[in-house]
Amino acid sequence: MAVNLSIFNSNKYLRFFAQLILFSIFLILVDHIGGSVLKYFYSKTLYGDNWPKGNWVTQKKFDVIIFGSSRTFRHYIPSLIEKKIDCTVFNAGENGQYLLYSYALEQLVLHRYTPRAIVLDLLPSYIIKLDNEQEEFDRLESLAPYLDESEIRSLLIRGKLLNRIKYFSRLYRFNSRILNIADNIRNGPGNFDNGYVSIGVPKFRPTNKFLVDLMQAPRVDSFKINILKKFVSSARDKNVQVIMSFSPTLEPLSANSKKILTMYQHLFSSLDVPFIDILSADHPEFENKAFFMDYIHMNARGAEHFSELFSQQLAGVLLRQKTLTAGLEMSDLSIQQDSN
Amino acid sequence: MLFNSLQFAIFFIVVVSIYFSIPHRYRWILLLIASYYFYMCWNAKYIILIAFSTLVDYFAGLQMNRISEKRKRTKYLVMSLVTNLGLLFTFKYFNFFSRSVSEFFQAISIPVQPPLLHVLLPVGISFYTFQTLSYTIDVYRGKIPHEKHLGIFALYVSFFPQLVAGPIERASNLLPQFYKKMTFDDERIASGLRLMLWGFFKKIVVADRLSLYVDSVYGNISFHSGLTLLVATYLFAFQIYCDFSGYSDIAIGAARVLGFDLMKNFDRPYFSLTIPEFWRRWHISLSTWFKDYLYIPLGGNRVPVARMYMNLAIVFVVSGMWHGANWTFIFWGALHGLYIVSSRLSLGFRDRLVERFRVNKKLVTFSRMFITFQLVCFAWIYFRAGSLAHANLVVSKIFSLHWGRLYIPAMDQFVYSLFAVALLLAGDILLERFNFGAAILKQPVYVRWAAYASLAIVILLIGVFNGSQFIYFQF
Repeated sequence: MAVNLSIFNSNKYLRFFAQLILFSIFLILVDHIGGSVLKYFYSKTLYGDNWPKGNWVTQKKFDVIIFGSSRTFRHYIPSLIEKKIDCTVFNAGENGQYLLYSYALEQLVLHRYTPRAIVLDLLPSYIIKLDNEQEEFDRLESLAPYLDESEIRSLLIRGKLLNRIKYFSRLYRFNSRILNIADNIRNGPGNFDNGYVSIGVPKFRPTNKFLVDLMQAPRVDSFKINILKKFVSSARDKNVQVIMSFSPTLEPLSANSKKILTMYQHLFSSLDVPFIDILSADHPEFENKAFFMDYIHMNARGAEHFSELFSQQLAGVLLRQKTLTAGLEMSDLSIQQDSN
Repeated sequence: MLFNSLQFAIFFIVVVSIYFSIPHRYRWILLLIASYYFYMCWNAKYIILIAFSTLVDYFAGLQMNRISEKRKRTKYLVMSLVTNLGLLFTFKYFNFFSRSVSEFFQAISIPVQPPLLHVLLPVGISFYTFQTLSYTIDVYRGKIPHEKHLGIFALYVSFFPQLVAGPIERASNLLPQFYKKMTFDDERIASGLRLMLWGFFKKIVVADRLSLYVDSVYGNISFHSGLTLLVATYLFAFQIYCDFSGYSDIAIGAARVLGFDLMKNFDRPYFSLTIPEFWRRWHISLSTWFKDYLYIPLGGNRVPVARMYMNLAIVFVVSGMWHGANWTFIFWGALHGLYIVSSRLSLGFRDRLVERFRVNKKLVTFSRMFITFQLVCFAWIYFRAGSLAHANLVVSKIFSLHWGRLYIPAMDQFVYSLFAVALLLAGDILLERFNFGAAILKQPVYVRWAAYASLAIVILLIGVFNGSQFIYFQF
């Protein structure tokens, strides 16, 4: 089959392609300039309804950062915890986000500085294969404004050509964020408490269950187990204390959730990671609707009580760690003295 | 493969590049392979259905051409009708029919276990079935010659830009174009790309944005107030318009880039002053199909008035059924049939009323447009709801006048939705009133580029890129 090259010689063809190339260059320029302007304004946003937690963890420094989902966001009150442990605390929990998001944020933090400790509030669904696997990655798009950071880039692009093409656009990284930027710049701190925003005590709604409770036979995702292990190891590589936590639910855990929680306990015991489990401890007061806004999210009252309990346990863990470190340093010293 | 995906962008660039690089005589092969590949991206197995329909209708056309006597040709027409409508019935309507029969028997206390087929609905089956049927009917009527070239005929049935959601083309318009040598026409390509851009705006910025709100409301009708359901219904009117007309624009634009002229499918229908006008502007290729192949054979206007109204009602009920195997679609079609009949019956009275009270012309125009839009929106409730019971619940909540509070899950998302609708209306008003499409071409290049870039920026910044399906694919 002979290739018809005659059209390549026509002026019409050349003119069209010259115009197409010029227009593409124009569009790329507009896109890149517009994207840079938006990036500048986005980096200035710290408050508002949709304030980006990435800006907080990349622009400020905290001793303890608590990662997780909407449960984290609603349960951990930094100002209360700070009083007990005498450290600065940030709540990096985010609505609708799972393990991948926490891991991505953790990488952003560790790349910049070394906090004293990081906490991950666990969800049973963190290590489960979701029906729509793509969904969790799609949710990570909220971190697209940080795409220039290599840690975020690898998670969002995942070596796929289509993702590479998509994120080539700098404007696209701020898709559906224009109003947030305007709103966040306009808004002041309000009742913002280092990442925690009190929801008050709204009327209890009998909704929301753990994702695993809606599945017949949840399967563990080895990819996510690896991410969880990386979450621990990358922090330890920088000598950051890692602590796992599981905050209370209104009703006793289902068989599925219990099974996964036991799996977590074994995993973290083998990795020697402290696990603060308020639920299985003796706290029947949490079996009370007055502490909850739905089955799995506490209201402000529940969060206050939980944060008090959590901060006591966290203080204990941090103290043990401090003693252990001091002990090791002393033994190092005595070894040195002996050898002298 | 969805039009609003990067896969399609790459596919289209590759096809267009090869298309203009190879001699004309090989182009149909490229387009046929591309079209089959395009369809197989959804479900490879179902390409067999298209190939089967193609072979049956090609054979029917061939046989009908051999026989000069119309009466003797009938058996081949019947063969084509039975095969195509049989496939459509099996895959689309069998389960609905089976369940309905079973429900009927249960209602009279005769328990029946309905036999159900566990098959997926082939994407676009209603579209390509109607397209290929129009060919056999036209050959039977002697309106067009039969197509001798099997490959070209297969391409007519499966031409990828309009394969899965129309416009439903006629053989007399599309078949001859496959023989025409398409030269590289820069203005034509630019015009096609412009139309595609506008189609992407409608789909990605308006339809998919509005679907976030509409789906969340219509997914939990009982939880929502009358006001919320009213707002969701209005937004659905714009969602479905942009979803379907956006698809049509992309399809027509893509075909235009390749050198083909597809028929216009939408003509800003919400500016219609009457329901009959709405149907001359909405899904034009389907309306004209029903007019040519159902309404006119039923007798059209050449029958007594009562029969004509009956014919109109039949056409709209069938049109409703074409849209989906659910009583909601049938009711939606019947409602439009009722609108059309009422509109015709009351036309004289309405005109006399306007004349007698000497109502301001602009006010009359606006009122007619407003009322037509309200009637269309009312019917959309039945189109969108999952069942008649749900639709009736929506209607009762809206008309209860205890409207309650408006549900706004996220203010920014809601504002984007309103902004998208405002942009669409502004665009449609500019196109309808000021022929903006032609006017922009007269502007200097920097103005044109700025306009195209602005539209692209809006798509990038407020578009919803979750690659959602087009609503009409299910039909």
